Amino acid sequence: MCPVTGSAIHDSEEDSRSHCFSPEAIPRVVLDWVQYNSILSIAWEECESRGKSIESILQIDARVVEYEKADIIIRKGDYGGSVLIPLEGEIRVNLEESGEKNFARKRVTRKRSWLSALGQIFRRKTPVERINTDSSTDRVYTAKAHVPRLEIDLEEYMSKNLTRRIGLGEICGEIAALRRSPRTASIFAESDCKLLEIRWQGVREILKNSKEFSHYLEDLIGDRRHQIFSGMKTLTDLPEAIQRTLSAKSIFERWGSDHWNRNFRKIMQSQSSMIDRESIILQQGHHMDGLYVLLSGFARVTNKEGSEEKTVGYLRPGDVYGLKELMKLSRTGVSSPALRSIRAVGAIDLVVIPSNDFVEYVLPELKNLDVDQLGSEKGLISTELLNFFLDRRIVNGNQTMVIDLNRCTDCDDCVKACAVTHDGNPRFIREGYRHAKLMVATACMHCIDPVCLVGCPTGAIHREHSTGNVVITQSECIGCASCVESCPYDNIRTVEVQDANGEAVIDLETGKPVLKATKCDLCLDQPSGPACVNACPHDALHRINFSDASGVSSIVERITG
Amino acid sequence: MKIRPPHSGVLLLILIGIVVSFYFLEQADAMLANPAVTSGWILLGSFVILCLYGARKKVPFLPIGKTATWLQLHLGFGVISTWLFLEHVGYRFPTGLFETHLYVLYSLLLISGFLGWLVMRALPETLRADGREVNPLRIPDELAGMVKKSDDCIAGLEPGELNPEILKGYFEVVRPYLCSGCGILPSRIHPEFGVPQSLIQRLQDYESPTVLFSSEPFLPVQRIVREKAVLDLHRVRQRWMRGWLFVHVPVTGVMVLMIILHVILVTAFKAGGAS
Repeated sequence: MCPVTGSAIHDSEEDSRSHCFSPEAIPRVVLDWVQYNSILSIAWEECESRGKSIESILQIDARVVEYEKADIIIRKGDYGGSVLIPLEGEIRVNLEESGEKNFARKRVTRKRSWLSALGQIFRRKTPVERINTDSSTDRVYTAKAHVPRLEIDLEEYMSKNLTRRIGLGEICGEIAALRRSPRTASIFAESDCKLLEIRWQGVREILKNSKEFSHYLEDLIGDRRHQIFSGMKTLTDLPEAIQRTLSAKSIFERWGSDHWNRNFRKIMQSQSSMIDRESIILQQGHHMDGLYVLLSGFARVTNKEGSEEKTVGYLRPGDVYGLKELMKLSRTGVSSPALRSIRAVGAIDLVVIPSNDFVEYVLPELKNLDVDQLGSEKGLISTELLNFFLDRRIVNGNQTMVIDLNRCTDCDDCVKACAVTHDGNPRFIREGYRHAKLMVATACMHCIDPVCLVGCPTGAIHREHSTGNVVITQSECIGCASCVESCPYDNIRTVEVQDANGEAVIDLETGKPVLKATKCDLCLDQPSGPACVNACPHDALHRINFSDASGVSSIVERITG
Repeated sequence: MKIRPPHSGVLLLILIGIVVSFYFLEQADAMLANPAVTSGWILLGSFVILCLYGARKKVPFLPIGKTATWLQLHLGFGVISTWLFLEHVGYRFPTGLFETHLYVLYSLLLISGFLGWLVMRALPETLRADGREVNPLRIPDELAGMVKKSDDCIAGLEPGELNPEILKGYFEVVRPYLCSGCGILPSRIHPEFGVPQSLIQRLQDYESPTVLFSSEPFLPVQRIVREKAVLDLHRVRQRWMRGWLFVHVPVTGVMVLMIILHVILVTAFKAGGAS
């Protein structure tokens, strides 16, 4: 019986683990080793005493993975929802930006062949979307990892680059797994090795049941948080030593509610002012105490005009605020008050680098950068449009589908194209929020902070490692609709599962059809990428990445004229 | 009504296409080849490219350029093929039966294509001018809802609340209007009452429109009639946006058959002439 579903309808051992992280159970010898030699030992008894054994958590949410010497285990910038504990062999983390070029991605993930893509035209269409049980989007796990390797002499590489060995039983990969952010450093295998990989659902369970482990992980993230800087466009060139100094001197803050998405739909319906609901992080005119660097979430930048707060920009993870004020401080020696206010849109993590430390450590490194490029005000977008994007949290999108209503002729070619690539069933609705000539369609935005992932008990909905696109592994989805409920934009829905004969699969316990979640997958397996964008004859449909300020500005300018 | 100007790339393509075609025609002329044969083959080539646009729309998953780019190519080659067609027929009116059929079909194709280009560029903006998004599939339900709402308004009136002439006008003119289709031309809207002029004229036989539309109990019905007028305008525009395709696509099919027949006939006659 799989502990996730509690289902007893399957017979074989392999089937009973179909919703677990690995089809193979964790061997007893590994569990014993982890209990006494790994960092999990500090949580073992506490979890037992609370009635939730780590063993049972690991059996569901962990797997043992083997790597060969020089394998790339984690690539900086990739997305990942798991932590790693070395069991055997040696692994190293690369602490230097200069060594990252050897980790550059050499090949793109799987795509259909042209012939296979053409075959879609002739595939059977169903009037209502149903997912076949023999879906090809299943993730196949094997203990042996098939990953790219460092194609260099390892010893020479290690002598030339700053790397650090991660000891057996230590934990790594926790920052990205817990923050839903990209990996902050690359890790490679120094020798053939074995690792215990725990997906974040399991880590969350352990954290829930062990305060000691929770404190340990907080301290660890604090200790390693200098790595956070290395993922940011502003501070990416700072040497390791300066990053460490800054992380020790900076103030890490958390604002807003973690569960902003829960009541979001109700708040939207109430049509009350969103700006008044947001916590003020920095008040315009107040003392500017440092450089504000956003780590996660979104912030609204406003300017007070009379009695009205006018939205003039927004911040996304990696964006900074306060450069203008601090540049003035460095030039004149006189501190400048904050020129704008910053408000937390949902839950945000930010770091404040104190003014003096900024001037002493960061400014000399920024001399070659155009400070204006690092500003927070996003181009030429009007206040109304910024409010529209921020109030509805559309800025969360990395691939937001925006339609130019001045060009759209309602031909539905985009919907038809989506249907062709998804067995006759489109994965989006050509309707949604409107602002003047612009419409945000009801299609997955592949958010930078995908809150739909939070409640998924099996990890079926996850981010693609390389692109960060949010995808659903159908074999792991148990149809609980947690993601459907969590998505504040109504962009996910559930559909029935059907067998090879086209019959709906019925759950023997409830007698109801088995459901699976479905949403836009950006046509990841198609040779062309998103078919909807390709299909629009009038260039009315765009996918907008709200991190790309110039891209947003140019598309918005084109639409709004 | 504002029309988005053509893409500058299309204009460039047309220019290049005409120059290149002109070069080939001149070359053929210099070699004393039959200019109709040369222009015919180039015309056939451009027609094949024009037809490929329809095929491209069927395979949105292939990385062969965006459909929007293909549409611009389609438009450019459409204009080039017009010039080539005139070159091919020697700038004269058709004489034979087959030639006349080809001529008429080609003209239909060209006119419907041009109309399509016009409506696709002009109508989307006007369609959204009132800030309303009307899904064509939902219109029948919306209309049925309007009729029901309007009937409920009338049924909810106290006896004698409404003048019998107005009631008669409702059942004989207003209600049939609410149940009617929209036609293919937009109705002229009365500037004062916001309802179609034709409806006002018909209602005059029952009651003065000024009295009718100032009658308090009739105001909810008037609002529904106004909504219907707006909805009809949307429907008419949507019909225009799709209607031209009902000419363009079938004519293309017939044209393809005619061209194949034409090529066969020309080749056969040429072979016969040579023997």
